[in-house]
Amino acid sequence: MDDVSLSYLLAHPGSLGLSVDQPFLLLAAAAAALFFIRSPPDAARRAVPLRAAAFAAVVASIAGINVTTRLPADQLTLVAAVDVSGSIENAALDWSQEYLRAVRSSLAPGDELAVVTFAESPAIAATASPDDDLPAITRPPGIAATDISAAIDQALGLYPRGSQKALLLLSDGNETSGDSRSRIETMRALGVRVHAVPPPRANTADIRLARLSAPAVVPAERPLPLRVVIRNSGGPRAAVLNLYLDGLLTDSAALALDAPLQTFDALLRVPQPGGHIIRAEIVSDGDARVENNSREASVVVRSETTVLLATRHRYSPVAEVIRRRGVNVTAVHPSRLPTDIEDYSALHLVVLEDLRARDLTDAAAVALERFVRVNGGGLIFAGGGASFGDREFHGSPIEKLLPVTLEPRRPRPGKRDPLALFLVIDRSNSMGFNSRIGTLRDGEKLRYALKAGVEVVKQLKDHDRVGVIAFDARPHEISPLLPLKTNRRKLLDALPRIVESGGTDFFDALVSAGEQLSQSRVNRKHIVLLTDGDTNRAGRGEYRALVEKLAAAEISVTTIRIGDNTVNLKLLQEISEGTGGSFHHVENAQMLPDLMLRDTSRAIRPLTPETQRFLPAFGTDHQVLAGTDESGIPPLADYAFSKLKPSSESLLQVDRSDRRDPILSVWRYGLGRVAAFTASPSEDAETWPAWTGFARLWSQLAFWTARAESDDDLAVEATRRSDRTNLVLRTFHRDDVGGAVTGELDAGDPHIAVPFSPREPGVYEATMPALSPGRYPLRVRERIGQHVREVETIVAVPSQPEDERREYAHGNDNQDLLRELTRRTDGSLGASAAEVTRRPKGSRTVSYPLAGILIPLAMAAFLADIALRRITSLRANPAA
Amino acid sequence: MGFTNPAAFIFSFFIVGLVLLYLWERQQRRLDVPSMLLWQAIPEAVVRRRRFQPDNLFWLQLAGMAALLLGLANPYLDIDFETGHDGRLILVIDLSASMQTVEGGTTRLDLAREQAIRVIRSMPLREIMVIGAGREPMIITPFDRGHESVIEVIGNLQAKDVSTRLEPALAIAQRASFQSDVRTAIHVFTDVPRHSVGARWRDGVSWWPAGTNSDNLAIADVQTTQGVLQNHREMGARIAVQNYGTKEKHGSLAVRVDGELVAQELFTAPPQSTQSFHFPQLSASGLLEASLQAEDALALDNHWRTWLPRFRPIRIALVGATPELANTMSRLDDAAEAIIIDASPSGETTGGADIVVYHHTTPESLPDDVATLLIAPLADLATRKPATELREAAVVDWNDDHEVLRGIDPRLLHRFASLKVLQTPPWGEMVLSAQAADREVPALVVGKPGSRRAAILAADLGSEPFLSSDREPLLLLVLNLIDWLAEQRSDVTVARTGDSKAIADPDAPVVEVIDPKGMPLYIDQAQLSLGLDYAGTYQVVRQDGTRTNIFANFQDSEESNVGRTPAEPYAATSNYAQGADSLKVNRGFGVWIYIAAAMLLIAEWIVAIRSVEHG
Repeated sequence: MDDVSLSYLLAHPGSLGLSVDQPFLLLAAAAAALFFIRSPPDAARRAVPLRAAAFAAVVASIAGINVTTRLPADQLTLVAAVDVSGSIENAALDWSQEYLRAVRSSLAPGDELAVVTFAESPAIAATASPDDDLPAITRPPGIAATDISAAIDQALGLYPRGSQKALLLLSDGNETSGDSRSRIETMRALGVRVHAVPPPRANTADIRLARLSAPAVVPAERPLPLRVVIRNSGGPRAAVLNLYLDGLLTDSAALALDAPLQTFDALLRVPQPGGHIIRAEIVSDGDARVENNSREASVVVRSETTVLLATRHRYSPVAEVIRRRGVNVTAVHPSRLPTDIEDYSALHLVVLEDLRARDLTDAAAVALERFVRVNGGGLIFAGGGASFGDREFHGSPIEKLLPVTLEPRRPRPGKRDPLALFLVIDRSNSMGFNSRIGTLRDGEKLRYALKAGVEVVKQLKDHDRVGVIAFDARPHEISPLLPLKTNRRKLLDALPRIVESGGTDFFDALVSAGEQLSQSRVNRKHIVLLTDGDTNRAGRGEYRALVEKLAAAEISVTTIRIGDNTVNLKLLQEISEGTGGSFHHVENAQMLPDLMLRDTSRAIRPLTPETQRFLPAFGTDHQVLAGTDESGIPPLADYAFSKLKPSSESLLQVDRSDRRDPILSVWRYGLGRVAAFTASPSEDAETWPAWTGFARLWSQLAFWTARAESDDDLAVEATRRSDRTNLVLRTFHRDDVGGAVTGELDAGDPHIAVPFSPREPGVYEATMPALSPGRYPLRVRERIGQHVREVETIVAVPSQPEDERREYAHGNDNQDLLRELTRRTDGSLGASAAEVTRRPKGSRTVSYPLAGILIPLAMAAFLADIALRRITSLRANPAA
Repeated sequence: MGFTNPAAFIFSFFIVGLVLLYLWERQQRRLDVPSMLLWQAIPEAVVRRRRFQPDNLFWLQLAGMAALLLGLANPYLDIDFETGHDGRLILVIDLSASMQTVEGGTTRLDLAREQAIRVIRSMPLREIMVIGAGREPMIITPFDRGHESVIEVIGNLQAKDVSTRLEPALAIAQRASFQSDVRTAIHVFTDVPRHSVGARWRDGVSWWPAGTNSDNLAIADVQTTQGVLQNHREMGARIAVQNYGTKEKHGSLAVRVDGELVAQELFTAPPQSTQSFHFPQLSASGLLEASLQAEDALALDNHWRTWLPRFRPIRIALVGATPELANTMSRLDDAAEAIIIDASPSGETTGGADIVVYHHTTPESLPDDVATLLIAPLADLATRKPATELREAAVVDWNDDHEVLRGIDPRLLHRFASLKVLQTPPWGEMVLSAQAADREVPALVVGKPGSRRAAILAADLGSEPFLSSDREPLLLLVLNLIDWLAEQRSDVTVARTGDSKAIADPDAPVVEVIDPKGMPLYIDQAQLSLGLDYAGTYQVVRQDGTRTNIFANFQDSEESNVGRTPAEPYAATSNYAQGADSLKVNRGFGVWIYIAAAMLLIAEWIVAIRSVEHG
C-alpha cells in the first residue's frame, strides 16, 4: 500500500478504515493480562490500566496498525497554468501561491502537480515530480501580454499517458495574443479538463477608458470624429478627459461619471496628411488602476478628396458648394474626361453634369464604368431630360451603372395631380339653426355643411388628400391630412356625427390646416372655410400674417359665410383674396353642396406648364438626407422621367398621381456607389442654390458617393511592442493582389530600410527594431503589376506598446472565455482547491501508520503509570 | 546509521519528565535518624552529590522510555552495495520537422543519431533511456542496459512533421534523473540552439548541435480569397512563398485542383524574402494542392493542401418572421448564396435547413442538430420573461477579434432602431453591445450551446433596411453571421501537423486510420483522438466503409527557418543527480526496539511489584 499524509486523511474522513500489517502479532496483547494479575496491592492499582494501555499501544505498533483510505482509481496529473501577466495584481499572485499550496495538500497520494507560469510566453516552473518543490510565483520581465494558448500547449506536453489529466487555469482570461478557444478540441480529444479559477481582484472601483474609436483613414478636409467609451465600476465621481494629438494636449473636458458606461463624442481637425496618434486619457482620483486609463488610436489623414466634375457649363453651383467644403474639385469639359483607367487612380469621385451621350467618348465611358465597378470609385450623374432622355446612352456603359433607367419621355399622366384639401367647418352653436329662419333650431346650417363635405369627399379620388377640422372656440381635428385611399371611410363616418356646440374662432383651425398642407408635397393645396359668423378672436394683424403665410405656401382658401349674418364679411374676403381663393355668402344652406363641389372642381383643374411645379419629397431615409428639412426643398421646374432599377433606392422623389418619380436615387454598382439626380442643376433646379439646404445636400451626397480611398492613397499603421515595431501598410489599389513594397524610414542617419512582406491582398507587413514614439517620414516604393510609384508619407509610432494596451484593456475577468473553456472540457469555473482535485473513490488503498500516534500515547501512559505509583508509594511510606 | 523519523526526538521530554519525577520523589522522602551527631561532619557537597542515587526500577523505566523513543525514531543502518553501476544516461533526441533538413547528403536526424551512438559506445555499462522530443515528449526506451538494442531503436527513429518543444522532454529527463540515486547524465541532440531554452534546463545538460544549412524555400501560407461582395464561385487563392535562405532561389509553384494543373508560376526569390502569388477565380472546387519545385534543404514545407468547398447554398428556414423580414431575407440569395427553404409561423418544417432563424419567437430549447439565429426574440431565452425594447440604441463596444466582425467597422453600424434587452446566456459571448441612456446591453451574442453554433441578434432586422446602401455594414454583419453560423461542413478537414483530432466513432469500438505513409492506425474509444504527426492525407475509415479525409499541412515558420549558427558541442560540467557509484540501502530496525520496549514494560512491572511485595 502507498503511504499518505495525515492531513489528507483528515481532509477525507468519509472513507477511513483500519488495517493491520501482521494481525497475529496482536495476540501478544494478551500479555497485558499480567498487569491485572500481578497488580500492586494498594492504591497504585489504578496504574494498571495505564500500563495495560501503554503495553497494548506498543503491541499494536509492532503489529503495524494503520489507518487506511481509498483513493481514486487513476492517478491525476494536474498542470497549473498561472497567469503572471501585468493584468494580474500583485495580491492575486500571492493568492495564486496559496491556492497552489491548498491544491497540493489536497492531492491524493500518487497524484502529481506541475506548474507553468505564463504571460507572453510560458515557462515550466515545476514539473510533475514529487521532488520538485512548489515554486515561488513571481512576475518575470515581459509581462505585458497574455497568451493562454501557449500555456496550454506547454501544459499538454507535461501529461503522461494513462493518467487523468486536468488543467488548472489561474487567470483572468484576458488573453492578448493567441487563441485559447482553438485548443479546446485538442484538450477534449486528450481528455484534459480545464478548471478555471480567476484570482480575486482587490479593488473594483476602477475607471477604464474602454475604447477610443476613430476612423483609420480620414480625408484632410473632414473633421475626425472621435468617440470615447468610459467604464466605471465604482460610484459616481468626477474625472477629466484629455485629448492629445501627437503628444500635444488639444482638448480637456471635465466629466461627471455617474453611470457604469458613458460615451463622449468629439470632432478633431487634423489637416496635416500622414499618420497621427490620437490619445485619450481619463484622470480621476481614487482610480484602482491607471494603466487602463488611456487609449491611443492611429489615424491616417489622407489627401483631400479629389473630384473631377465634367460639365458643359462655365459655372457649376454643385462644384462650388463641394469646393467650399475643402474638396479638391477640377471642372472639365466632358470631352476631356480621361479615357485611361490609370488617370482615375487619384480620384475619389466623378460628377457628370448635364451631359449628353455625344459628349462622352466610348473609351471614357468604358473607363468610367470600370472606375466605379472595379476600382470602387464614386459617380454622380446629374441632368435633366436632355441627359436622361438621350437615346444614345442606350446600350452604353453609362446606362448600366445608373440606378435608374433612361426613358425618352415622361408618360402622360393617367390621373391628375393630387389635391390636398382641408375642410374647416364651423360647429358653433349658431350652426344648429336654420339658415333662413334664424330662430328655428333645426340644425339646417350644420347639416348641409356636413352634407357638402360628404359630397366633396365622395367626389375626390383616392390619391387626393383630405383633412377635416371642426371648430367652435377651439379647433377639433376630425382627421389629419391623409390620402382618401386610407381615409375616405373614416371621413364619411365621422362627418355626419359632428354636432354643434360652443363659440366661434377659426384662427387656430386655419393655422393647423395651413401647417399640414405646407408639409404635404403636392402642387395643389386648398382650404374651404365654412362659417356662419365672425370669429371671436380680435386682432386683424394676426390674420394678416396668417394670410401672408398661407399665400407664401401657395395654399388657397375659399371662405363661405352661411346664413344672413353679415358681420365682418370683410375678413373672410381678405382671407380668400389674399390666398387666391373665392369668397361666397350663402344665405340658403341648401346650396352648400353644389357650391362646394364647384369650388373643388376649380381647385383640381389642370395646371399649365407655367404654373406646374414639381415638389420633391423624401423617399427612403438615408444619411445623405441627414439634417435636410423636407418642407424647405424648393420645387423643380422640370425633371427627367426615369424608373428605379431593382436594388436602387429613391431618396428624393416627386409624388405623381399614380406613381413616384425618382429625383435623387442611389445604389451600389460593383465596388462603387452611383447617384443619379434626374434634374438639371443649372436649369430645372436653377433656384436651388438659394436654398439653405443646397450645400448640405450636395456635399453629403458627394461625400457618401465618393470612395473612401483612391488608388493612390496608402495608409501605414505602426504598433509598438517591447522589442520591436510592426508596420502594416495598406494600399487601396484594387489590382493589388500582392506586389513588392519596400520602404525607407527616416529615424536619423542612416535611414532604416523597411522590407515589407505581403500579408494579404493590399496589405503588407514589416517588423523592425523598436522605435521611440513619434512621427517618422517614410518613403514607400511600390511595384504592383505594371504599377510603379514612390510615395512619401508619415508613420506615427504610438507611445503605448500594443501588448500593454491589450493587456490593460479589460477591467474585468473574461468570464465568457473562462466559461467556454471549462464548459466544453467538462471542467469547472471558480472551484475550490478541494473541488478541483476531488474525484470518485476507486479501489486503490493507501495507509497511514498509527505508530506515530500510539507510541507517544504509550509513553505518556507509561510516565503517568510511573508517576502514579511513585506518588502512591510516597504517601504510603514517606520515610526513605 | 541514521533515523527515518528524527522528529520523534521531540518526545524526549517524556524522559526528562521521568528524571524530574525521580528527583522530586527523592526530595520528598525524609530519613528519620536518632541523632544528627554523626552527620554534622559530612560536607554539604558530598550529601548533595549522593542525592541522585537511582534504583534499578528507575533504570528499567528509563530504558523502557528510551526504547519507545528510539523505536519511534526508527534508526537504520546503511548497507553499501557495490552495484558495479557507472551511472545512467538519458538521451534526448529532437524528432521535429527541422531535423529532416538535408546536411551535405545526410539529414540532421542522421547526424544526431551518429552522435548519440558515439556517446553510447563511449560509456559502457550504463543504463540508457531515450526520450524523443517533438510536439510532445515520448519515452522511446526506459532505462535499459542493453546498448545494442538501444542503438537499434535509435537507428529506427523517424522524425515527425511537427514543431520542436524541447522543454517538456527536458522536464521528463530531469525528473527521471531526480528519481535516480546514481549519477545521471543528460545529452541532448538537436538543431535548437542551446541558448534558446531556459537556464533551468540547459544547466547540467550536454548539448550536441546538429546542422547549419539555411537553404530553404517554403510555402508560408495559403489562403483562399473571396473578394468584397463576391460570391463563393469566384474564390481564388493566394500563396505566399518564403525564402529563408541567404541566397537567391529559383523555383516553380504549381497549383492543382483535384489533380488537374490549373496554374504554374516560375519565380526567383531574393534571399530572406516573401513573395505572394495570386490565382483569382479558380472556378473550381475540390482538393487544392500547391507544390514548390526547388532545390532546397527541407522538402516538407514545399507542399500544401486545402479544400475549395463545393458550392452549396446555405439553406435557411424562417420561423415567425414578419413579412418585411421574410421579404428582405429572401433577397439575400445573391449576396449570401442563401435560399429560404421554409417560412412558417411555428417552425414545423425546418428539416434540411442549415440555419433556423427565429424572428420575434423564443423556442423552448435550441435545436441541437441545426444552427440557430434568434432575431429580436420577444422573451429572454434564459429567464423566459418578456424582453423590453430600447429604441435608437447606439453601438458602443465590440469584440475586435471575433470572426463575425471581420472586415466590418462596427463604428459604421451607428445605431439600431429597435433593440430587445436580453441577457447573455451561459453559452454566449457578447460580440457587439449597444447603449441607450446609460445602459449597455448585448446587441449580438454568439456561441456554441451544443454541437452547433447559435447567435442572438437583439436588433430587430425587420425594422432595419439592412439591404439599403446606407446600411452596408449591417448587411455585411448579417452575411458574416450567416456564414459563421452555417459552418459549412464537409467530409474534409484541413488541419496542421501537431494537432489532435477527435475521431472516435460511437458506433465502432475501433476506428481505422491510414496515415500519410500508408500505415494503418487503430484508434479505440479509450484513445479518442488522432495525433497528426505527418503532413499529408489521413484517411479515416468508418465502420460502414466510407472514408473521410484529413489534410494535414506543416506550417511553422520557426521550423522552416532552418539556418543555424555553427556551434560546438557543449559538455555539461555537472549533473542533476550527484549520486555515488554505489547504492545505499536503508535497513531500519525500529520494530525490534518496540519489542524490546514491550519486554521492558513487563520487566519493569514485575520488578516494581516485587519491590512492593518485599517492602
